[in-house]
Amino acid sequence: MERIPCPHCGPRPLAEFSYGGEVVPRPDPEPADDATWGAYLYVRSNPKGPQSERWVHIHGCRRWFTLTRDTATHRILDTPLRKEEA
Amino acid sequence: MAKAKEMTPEGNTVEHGGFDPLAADWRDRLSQSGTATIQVDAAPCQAQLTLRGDPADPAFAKAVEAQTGLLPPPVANTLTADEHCRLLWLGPDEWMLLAPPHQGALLLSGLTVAFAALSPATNAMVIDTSETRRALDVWGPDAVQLLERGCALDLHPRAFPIGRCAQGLLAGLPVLIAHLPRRNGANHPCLRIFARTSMVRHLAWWLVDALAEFRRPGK
Amino acid sequence: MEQPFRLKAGGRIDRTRPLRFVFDGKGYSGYAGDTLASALIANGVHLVGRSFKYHRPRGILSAGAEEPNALVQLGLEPRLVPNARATQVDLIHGLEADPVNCWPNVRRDVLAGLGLAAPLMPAGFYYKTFLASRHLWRHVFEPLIRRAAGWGRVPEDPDPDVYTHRHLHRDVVVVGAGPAGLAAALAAARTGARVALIDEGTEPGGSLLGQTRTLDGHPADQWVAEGREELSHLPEVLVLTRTTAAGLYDDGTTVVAEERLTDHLTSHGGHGPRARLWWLTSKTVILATGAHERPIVFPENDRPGIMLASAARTYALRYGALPGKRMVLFTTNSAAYESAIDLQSRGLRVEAIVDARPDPSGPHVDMAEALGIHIHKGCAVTATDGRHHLESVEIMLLSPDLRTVQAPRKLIECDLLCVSGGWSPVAHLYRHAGGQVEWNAEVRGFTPVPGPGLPRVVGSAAGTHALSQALERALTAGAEAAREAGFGDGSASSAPRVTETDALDGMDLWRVSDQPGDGGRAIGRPGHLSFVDLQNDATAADIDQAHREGLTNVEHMKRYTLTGFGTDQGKTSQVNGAVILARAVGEGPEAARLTAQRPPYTPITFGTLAGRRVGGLLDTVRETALQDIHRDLGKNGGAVFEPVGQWLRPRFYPKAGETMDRAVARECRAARQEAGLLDASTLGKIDAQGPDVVEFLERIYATPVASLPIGKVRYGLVCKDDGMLVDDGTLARLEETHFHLTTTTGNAAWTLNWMEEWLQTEWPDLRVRLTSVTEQWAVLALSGPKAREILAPLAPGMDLSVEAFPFMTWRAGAVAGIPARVFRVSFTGELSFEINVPWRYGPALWKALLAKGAPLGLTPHGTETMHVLRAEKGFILVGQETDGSVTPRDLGLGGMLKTKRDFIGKRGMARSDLQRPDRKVLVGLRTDDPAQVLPEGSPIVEAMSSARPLPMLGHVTSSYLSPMVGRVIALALVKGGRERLGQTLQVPLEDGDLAKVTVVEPVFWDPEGKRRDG
Repeated sequence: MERIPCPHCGPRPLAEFSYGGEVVPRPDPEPADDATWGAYLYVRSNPKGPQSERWVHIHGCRRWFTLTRDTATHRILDTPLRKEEA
Repeated sequence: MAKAKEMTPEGNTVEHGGFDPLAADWRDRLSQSGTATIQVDAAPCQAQLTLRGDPADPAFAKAVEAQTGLLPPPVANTLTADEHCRLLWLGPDEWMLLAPPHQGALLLSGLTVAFAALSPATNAMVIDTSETRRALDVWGPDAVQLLERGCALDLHPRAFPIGRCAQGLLAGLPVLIAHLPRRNGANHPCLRIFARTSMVRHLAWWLVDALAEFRRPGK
Repeated sequence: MEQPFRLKAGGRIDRTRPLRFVFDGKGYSGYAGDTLASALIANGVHLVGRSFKYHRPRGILSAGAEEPNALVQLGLEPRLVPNARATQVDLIHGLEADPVNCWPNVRRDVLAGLGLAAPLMPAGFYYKTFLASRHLWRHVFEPLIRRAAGWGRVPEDPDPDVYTHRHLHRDVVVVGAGPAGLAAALAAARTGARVALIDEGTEPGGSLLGQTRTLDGHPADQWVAEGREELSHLPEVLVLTRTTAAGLYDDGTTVVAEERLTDHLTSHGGHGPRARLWWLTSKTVILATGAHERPIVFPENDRPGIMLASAARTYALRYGALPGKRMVLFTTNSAAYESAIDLQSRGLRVEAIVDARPDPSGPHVDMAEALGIHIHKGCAVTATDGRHHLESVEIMLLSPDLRTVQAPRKLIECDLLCVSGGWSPVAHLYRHAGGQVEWNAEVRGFTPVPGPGLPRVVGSAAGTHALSQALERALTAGAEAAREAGFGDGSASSAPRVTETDALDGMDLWRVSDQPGDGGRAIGRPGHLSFVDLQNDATAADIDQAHREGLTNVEHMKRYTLTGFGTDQGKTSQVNGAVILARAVGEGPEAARLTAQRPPYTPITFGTLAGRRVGGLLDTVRETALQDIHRDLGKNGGAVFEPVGQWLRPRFYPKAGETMDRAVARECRAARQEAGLLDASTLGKIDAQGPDVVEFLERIYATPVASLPIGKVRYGLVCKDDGMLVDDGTLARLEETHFHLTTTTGNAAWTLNWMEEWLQTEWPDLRVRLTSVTEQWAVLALSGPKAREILAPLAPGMDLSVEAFPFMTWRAGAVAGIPARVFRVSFTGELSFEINVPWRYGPALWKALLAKGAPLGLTPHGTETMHVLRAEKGFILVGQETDGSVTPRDLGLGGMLKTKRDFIGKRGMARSDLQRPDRKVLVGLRTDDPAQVLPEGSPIVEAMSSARPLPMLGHVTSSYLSPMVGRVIALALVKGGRERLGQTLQVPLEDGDLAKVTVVEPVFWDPEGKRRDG
């Protein structure tokens, strides 16, 4: 059972969180052509290694945050700083 | 319709009507399930207001204090309290105010007016969410052990002393647990567990089931 | 004689507490403190099972978790336990155990004949047979093999036992309570840290139990007892026995372990839970999981009576049970000499020590020689004999390069052959956490490679064989781990002085060749097998064959030969198999790779994993404030419920003897002709407010927001960025910057969280506050021509006239004396009021409405009637008419979309594919047969033809018998459906029939919408 570091509540069990997927910048909708919008909707880099991704502490403080996780080892490499520690 | 007369922890007698998912038969089941080392009961119904605002804005904290007598707890997963009210951390800009039922309406209007005078940047808000959660109290030397049966939070007194609160999962459903110094005026601490009103009977059932394990020899 | 192989004294068994048990239909006795294996050995029983593939007689190999052979079936239905390791089954009075893989019994197994067929079933047999002939496989081999294999029987009835879970947080968790684990736990616990020490055995002590060795001049048992005593006085220390660490999870800080609570007390269900699953979350984890002695691969190495040297010693010293009378030790190292010496001191006669090393040395070698034990140096066991039990071994000289063996052959009579091929550190948990192991030439085993974020490993699990060193390092590790968790300064007390065993100065002998150096014929009789994996009957020759066929990756070899599969997961075979493969490739052990290791370490019963999440506790059940009323309604058993997400909602309220169809027809008619009442409290409700709330909702909703005046309500559509509809509901403007939103029941949590995601991640500048108020408001939907008449007397302060309270507006006021928000929205097409009151007053409102309304025909209805009523009106249900690939335009709702302003989904809908004219769109279907309800999801085709695949035009999304329309109605998504109005299409049904349907407008009731105002 993985533990996810919530920037507000500290490390908590995975079950308290919901996964938001890889962080993908949203293109400006108006000028974006179909290919650009299609890529934003469907294309993910799916790296074997570090990935910047979104999580939400859905059963805790309900806050969204971004962290970096190594998809091969599940190790969390870069965690958002906790308020108490900052 | 169930009419209940209750003592609030602060000692005020109030009357309220209406449906309570933990009314008579469930309270009996809970109290009968208790053991020598664990007691469970429905918590008194209280007014629950959700407060939102920018904790960095001193005017916000001042307005909260002026209306409630309490400052928003500065540390995550802690609470502040006086003899009337409690203010529990829910998120970095979100708190739950617990108050005696008859004070709920007054606090709601007082805070609404006070917040309206704040800078729009603070985006302060108060809303009555008294109906959305129902709480249970668990106390006794083995209370933590009972909850550890279905809760991955660290509830050991070293990590979760009196004055701490935390949201997480218990029995697979989302809860807010607060470690309170007193229960119903009685002089013993308790763990107060808030669950969504629609889920609280499931939680009560789970607790009754879990307690069976502690009543058997050799637990 | 009872227990003829039991020693008169010694061991950690209680001779005052004899226990009777049955094995393979025969009664025996043992003592409290025995395992089933030690009790069998005390009774001289060695034949305990038959092998999986060849049904060869097998005996007890080990004394622990690594046991591949001694698998037994325990208990009676419904408490059958298949494949229990006899070496870990605590003996209890009345225990009934049977061997597995044999019939009718272990001595006269009729399938043993398969052994003769061994050469016919080489590695890859299954794959090749299957590929060669599907027919032969399915009709001949598979049934035969399934019957022959078995591996125990599982219970057919529900598990009657109770299982429990417990989560616990610790500063230090130590896995394994042998000398190193005990020392580490002591050092950590002395700092005041919260410590858990867990061990799979019945008591802490591990290899020290029953030892002859001394620590600080005292017997090892005493050091163990003192350690236990000290731990028991430290308040923050938890010691768990009979608790197996099954897995160490991703980040290496959560140990999941199974504690067996009652199996050692009773076989017929005890008081309280049978087992407990622990989730031990720890700041630091120390692994002291020990090492498993390795068997040696030599011809006929699988007979009963062939045992690991350390296991034989454990049986004699810890259990006072002698595993034989005359023994031979076959070893590659000096450490195993200690076993021979100890066994001789307990009365066993050591016939010979066969040492593969040409020139063994060391204190214990000297001691053995001094005791007069004959040592055959540079020799190996090359064959064994004995039908059901070992009778003799044959030894030969090893050639210097170990590739062949040489005469003279020598036959030694014996009934016990102890083997030791070295030690394999137990690194399973370390590898679960992502740790690597590599060949360690000094230890002659695969040891953990330290790395950042990985648990500490101490004792023989780390390859530290010398006891003094293991204790010293473990004490340091314990103190260091505690310091890391914030306790103590990292300093530890000094380790006790110990009498040291011989160093592991072994040699590598991975496999005894069956080829004589003189070029003569292979040793022994035909069909002689050198087993690598005893549980799966995988031989060294199988691995050779895998290599010859190009399977040089160890994972491929494993799947081809089955080496390492099964309930023991190759604990005694994995290393031998991997190195034999590496050598076949021409490499040494350092090039060998071990197969992946996954939890659980030993099998766990499903009941333990499920815990109390069974039956009604499986998932959270959500109830509205009216649940008790629904249950009691009609006093005929109440409502029939259906799950909607986690909610349990009334589906219909049958009267006595009423079928669902009749009940729904009655409820539908009432709602259309008089009035219906629905508990709609499960609707998701969100309070949205803040200075920027209008801007936020304009971005979120595909429908306009800003133009909505205070006091009015609007239907809203929510799309994702791909343009597909994900939710619908209503928006009511309460104040200038304050809205009350509703979502579908099933999407409530998702929609709120999704809105929060946009607010928190993409638009943090917007000042908006969202609050779930689902349980703040109980909602009763009062609907039907008499709705106004029923409500009016209850809401005297509220003008309900069409003029004062028009459609799609909301009003605040008192209903039945309860403060309420009333919304004039309609999901039925009839005049409808959705009355919102504080949750607790839901029942009071329900009762008040029925008291007034029942005389006028007000009838409660459930979700089924709601579905029929809304389908009659062609109102969509998200999740029924939509599936994530349907846009508002596809549903005929394009006219509601904003044309100018941007919103989520706008760009997505503009994609060329979503503009195609032949997209599937919502239409109604009129069935030729007025009573033919179409199964939801049924395909729709133009006509049946032989074309494959048959071109599909779409599918049925909803279909009900409509009592008001007087026939079946259906909604469907059909390609270019608007252009097909009036066309006849076909719906193939399950029974092969075709239903003829006509495409019609998707509104079957009141198409002009005249009824909504009453």
